[in-house]
Amino acid sequence: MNNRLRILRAQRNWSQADLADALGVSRQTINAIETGKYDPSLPLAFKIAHVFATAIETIFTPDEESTAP
Amino acid sequence: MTAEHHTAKRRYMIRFLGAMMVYSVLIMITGRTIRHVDPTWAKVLLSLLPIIPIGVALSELLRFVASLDELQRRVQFEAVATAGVLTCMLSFAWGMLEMAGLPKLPIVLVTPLFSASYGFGVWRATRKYQ
Repeated sequence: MNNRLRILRAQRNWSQADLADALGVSRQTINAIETGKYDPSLPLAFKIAHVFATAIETIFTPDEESTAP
Repeated sequence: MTAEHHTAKRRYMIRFLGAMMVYSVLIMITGRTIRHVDPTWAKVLLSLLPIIPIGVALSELLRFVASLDELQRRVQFEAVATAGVLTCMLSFAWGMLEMAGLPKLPIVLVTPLFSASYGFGVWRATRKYQ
């Protein structure tokens, strides 16, 4: 799964620690999501969308392989 | 790390280390006195005494894991899985080697083997998500 977390965070001038505090997770978790090493659960993905006041699909997009039939 | 997580980690460290200190004292007491204790039921009770602080330490570990976020819990899960696989493989392999004539090792060594494998598992899983 791809995501625009780093871009959205940079637009708001937030550090990884700021976002981690807002979401109640560790900074390492934010870093792992941004670098694509970890895909968040659906509840956390919705929470991220809520913090950025946007729809979940504008942040997370599927890989080409995961949408292939 | 959130403030709540920091507090939970601190509480866990204090209680876990406290339980392990009690365990160390009880192990020393048991080791020194068990030969002089009679009857057998008293020996059994005395030898099981160090299990109590181990139970406290493990319940604190479970409470700490419950306070972690989802990625940290996944790291812990992968570490436990790694520890389980390594402990099963190594203890089974040594059991087979004993049949080939290698010295018999006490079963109490399985716990430190699991702990070391768990530490390795945490290191491995942490690196994977860094």
